[in-house]
Amino acid sequence: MKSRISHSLFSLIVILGLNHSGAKGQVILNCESGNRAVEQGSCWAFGSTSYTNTAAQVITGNWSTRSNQLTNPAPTACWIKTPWMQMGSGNITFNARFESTAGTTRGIELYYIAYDPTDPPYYEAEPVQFYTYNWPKPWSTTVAQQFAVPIPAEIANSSDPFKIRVSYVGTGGTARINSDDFVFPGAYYSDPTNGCLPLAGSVDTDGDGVADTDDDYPQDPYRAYNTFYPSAVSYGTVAFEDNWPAKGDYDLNDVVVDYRIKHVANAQNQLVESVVQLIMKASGASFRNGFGFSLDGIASNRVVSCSGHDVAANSIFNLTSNGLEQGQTNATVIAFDNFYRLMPYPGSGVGINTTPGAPSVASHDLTITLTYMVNGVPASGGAVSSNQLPFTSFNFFIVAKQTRGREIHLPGYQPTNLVDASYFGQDDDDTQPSVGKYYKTVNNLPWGINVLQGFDYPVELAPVNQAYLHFIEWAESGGTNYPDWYGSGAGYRDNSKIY
Amino acid sequence: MKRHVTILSLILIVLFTSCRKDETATPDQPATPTNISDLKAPSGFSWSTSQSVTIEVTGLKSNIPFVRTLSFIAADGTIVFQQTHNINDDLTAVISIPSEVSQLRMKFGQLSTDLPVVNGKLTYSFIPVDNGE
Repeated sequence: MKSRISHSLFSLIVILGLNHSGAKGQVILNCESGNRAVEQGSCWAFGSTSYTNTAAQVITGNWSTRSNQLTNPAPTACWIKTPWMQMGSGNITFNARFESTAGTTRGIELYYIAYDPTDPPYYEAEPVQFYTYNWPKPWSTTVAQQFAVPIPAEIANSSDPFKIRVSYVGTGGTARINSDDFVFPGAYYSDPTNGCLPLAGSVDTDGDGVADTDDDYPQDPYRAYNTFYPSAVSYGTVAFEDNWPAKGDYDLNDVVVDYRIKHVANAQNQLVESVVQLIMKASGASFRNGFGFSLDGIASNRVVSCSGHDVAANSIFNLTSNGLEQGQTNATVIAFDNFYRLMPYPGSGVGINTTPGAPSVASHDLTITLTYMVNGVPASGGAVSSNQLPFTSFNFFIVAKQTRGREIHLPGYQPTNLVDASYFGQDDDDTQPSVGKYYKTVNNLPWGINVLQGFDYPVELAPVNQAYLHFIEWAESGGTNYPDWYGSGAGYRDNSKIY
Repeated sequence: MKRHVTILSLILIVLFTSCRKDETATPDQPATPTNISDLKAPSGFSWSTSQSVTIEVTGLKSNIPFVRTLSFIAADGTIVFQQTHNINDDLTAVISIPSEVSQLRMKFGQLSTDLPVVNGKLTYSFIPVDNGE
């Protein structure tokens, strides 16, 4: 009797609010949560009835219900009430037993309660009594009485919502009743997120278990949710210095790329794909640099395919047939191999889109799609759940000077398998993998920065702190002071130093 | 004689005044560097304008499944987290949101409630307070 209800069947019924006559399941109260509030959270209600785990009072399992002393013949004094249900057919069953024999009369009464849309806040019509039991003496304190009460014909298999109230009544004495193992044939039909009112009907066109109102793909059973980072209408910016392992000029414009990531997940919270939109903004560099990202914690064989990247056939990068980079443990995408190939040098100034007065070059967009699942079938390495790939696991990096091992990541992020680790500790780099320190100097300065809110990068040779006047205070405070240092408020910027 | 007394008094006033501790003086503090190369950042600083927030949802753990879409939404309407969720299940998830965000709205079915970010966490329990009846 204490078995759990079939999850899948109930989920279907609850989500769709369907009426499956004869297959409505059961709603069970066995008290084994040990906490009456848990059941209240599922829309059960209790009047002067508590839970007990005192051995002499428990009927089965570890917990049972315990009435107050039954000295009141009114059915509203002591009771248990089900959530709203669509009743099935057959018997309501439960067990009950006396705690003591001190009393004059004791009884149990069952009522059904219809839904009354005109009677807030509980919307309950007048209860209708359909069963009465007056306990004959002698009362047993050791053997539980088994009850089996037929559901009244007028509510059996109805699509309308009803509640059942079990009332304990009595006169004289202190005897209480313990009860347990309640089984009510029918389907749960309450909405605990809506004041325990009856479920509102909802439509699920594709049958994936996600109501159309919540489904970003209501006609596609293999897709349900979009989640964006940083948002559906904005881009973050990653900006790098490329002179690693030596410090650069900190104008943070050697490679500047805006990004937006969209996760598409199915109703089982498995990722179907990630769409990474990149806008190549600037490269204030003489080096020819590439750009990519790894998916930290996601093995390459968990990605079906990668498309939308732009890597020349004769580049320094070797890709597999599914579009990822070869030789990597974590799935790694090379978005582009050479900034200058996709956004040519304009002919004057230093770099691309960093020298005021030099011709500007139109930004170049890339839309990279990582597919984890096709028509519900994951890659050979298994499905990727949403929680396994948070957006912070997108580990952006540049590859400087067309040297594959010269891989520069955002501070704190680990390199890929193909980094040349001999660079660690050279010049200004103070990377110490043993203590989890990556891509920082002795003073913890980075070679890259990630601005979730988007970033107007400095002009060539202007250190970022000269363009953004509170940058140093922000950094020295570990991000506490001036968290909005990138803003455009008075005193925040020197616009002459911003491209 | 009167003139000598006046001069002596002035000298004493000056002496005592000059010896009194200046309690308004600002203690020595390191100046904010103007050169970025002189900057020293805390070792754990991520150099990101985002914050990592852990969502901790306590499930109801009843025997009645109730499955809906669970969403966390920023003030600008951005859905920062969304998945199918059973009200009975616990959930722990880490999200990254702009550092200035101090609360998110949680939606689950018809439920909608604002939750503050406290010490890098957003917490919610589906177990209600016992109504005591």
